[in-house]
Amino acid sequence: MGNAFLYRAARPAPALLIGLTFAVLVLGVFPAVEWVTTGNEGTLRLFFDYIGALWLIALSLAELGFCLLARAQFSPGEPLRRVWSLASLGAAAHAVGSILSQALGIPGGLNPFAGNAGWPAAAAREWGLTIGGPLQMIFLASALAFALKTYRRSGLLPRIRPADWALLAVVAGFAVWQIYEVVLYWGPNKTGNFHEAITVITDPLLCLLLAEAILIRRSVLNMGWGLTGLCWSAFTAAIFLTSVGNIGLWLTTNFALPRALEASTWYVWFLVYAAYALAPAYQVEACRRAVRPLVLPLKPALWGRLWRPAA
Amino acid sequence: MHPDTATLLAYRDRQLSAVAQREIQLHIAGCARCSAALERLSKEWEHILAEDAAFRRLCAPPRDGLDRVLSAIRERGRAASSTESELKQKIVEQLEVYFGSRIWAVLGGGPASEQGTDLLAKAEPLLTTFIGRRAAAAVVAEIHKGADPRACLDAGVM
Repeated sequence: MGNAFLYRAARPAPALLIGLTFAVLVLGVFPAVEWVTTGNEGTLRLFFDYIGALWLIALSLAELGFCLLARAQFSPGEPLRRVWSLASLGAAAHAVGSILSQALGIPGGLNPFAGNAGWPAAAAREWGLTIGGPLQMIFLASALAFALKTYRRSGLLPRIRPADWALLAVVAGFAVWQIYEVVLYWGPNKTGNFHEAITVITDPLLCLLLAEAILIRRSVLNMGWGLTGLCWSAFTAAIFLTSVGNIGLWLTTNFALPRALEASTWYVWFLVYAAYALAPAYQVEACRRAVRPLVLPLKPALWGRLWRPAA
Repeated sequence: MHPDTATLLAYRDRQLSAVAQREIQLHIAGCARCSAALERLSKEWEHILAEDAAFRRLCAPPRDGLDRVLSAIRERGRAASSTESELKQKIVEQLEVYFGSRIWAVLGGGPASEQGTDLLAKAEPLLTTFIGRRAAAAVVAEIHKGADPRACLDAGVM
């Protein structure tokens, strides 16, 4: 009974993820409009501290669940098994990071320790951003590198077109500039903590992810839009949207943006998280379409015990 | 001295010399044992001839035999050709669901220029790589589902 529920639950997953994220975004438009027009940020803060944070955590947990489910569809030794193992580690990092940065790392909202004066919320947030940022990116970049290798071996990786070379050149140039800035920032007299040290590799890592995403995108565009292509396209979209979100953060920090534009950059993160969850959901959907029931990551007997604990 | 079975058969078929034929005829006329043996041999021989005639009647080709054989060959050819196109259609549908509508342009060849077996040989490793061994086996089983095994054999699929 437990298994049957899981199979049914996994069935309309991509549509459900898209639909609910759209609903949350629509819900979030109203407080943003109120803030832009009246300057009152109370409702907006309420939205991001509760509904927004809850949905981001839910999406990152869904991403982890679907990654584990996708991994279970491949036997040890199959090329995509390793890809989904790394993606699962990335998703785990993303989920832990989200819980720390969206709940445990904020002074109010969903944080159950918010009233506790001794709770190190700032440290929890820093760890959340580190684990859910660079660490997740390292795992994802490794996963995509193996995915690209699999595409190449299968003859599905096409010749890179001039437009792609141009994009890759832009990304490489940006990466070089980021590395130069990092070198300047970490001058001989600079001292910083662990989080600062690891956060500086975020942009170069994002550049690497973008380069991988460009190659995958070209491959998917060449083939048309199949279920497996949708999976990798979702990862690509997540990476591109992360860049857009980062650019938004940079613009917000360095320039006085109009309120409407500033608010729109915050909502990009919902799309980023949804795209990360959609990627493994499409892979699971591809396998589910062929095989019913799906292979679950744990033995059915264990699922049974989880659903119906022994008396 | 009594003649042996071979001599009696030769006598019956009139294959002996005139002198020998006369000698055996005289002997049989006076020997009840050889006369009975000759009678038994004749009966057995007639029985064999009757069986042979019946068998020949049974195996004789009908007058429209060639037409019927040619028609059956054409029918099997049509069935095989229909299975081949059905098989191609199923492979194309499945591969496009998982990889996209332009997958054949990437792989080279395609349903227009290749046999079903060749398409399947290209599709199976791709499916195994990207959706896993178990799911790929299920897709291939789905492709073969409903196909007439004899026609598949004719088309070289199974």
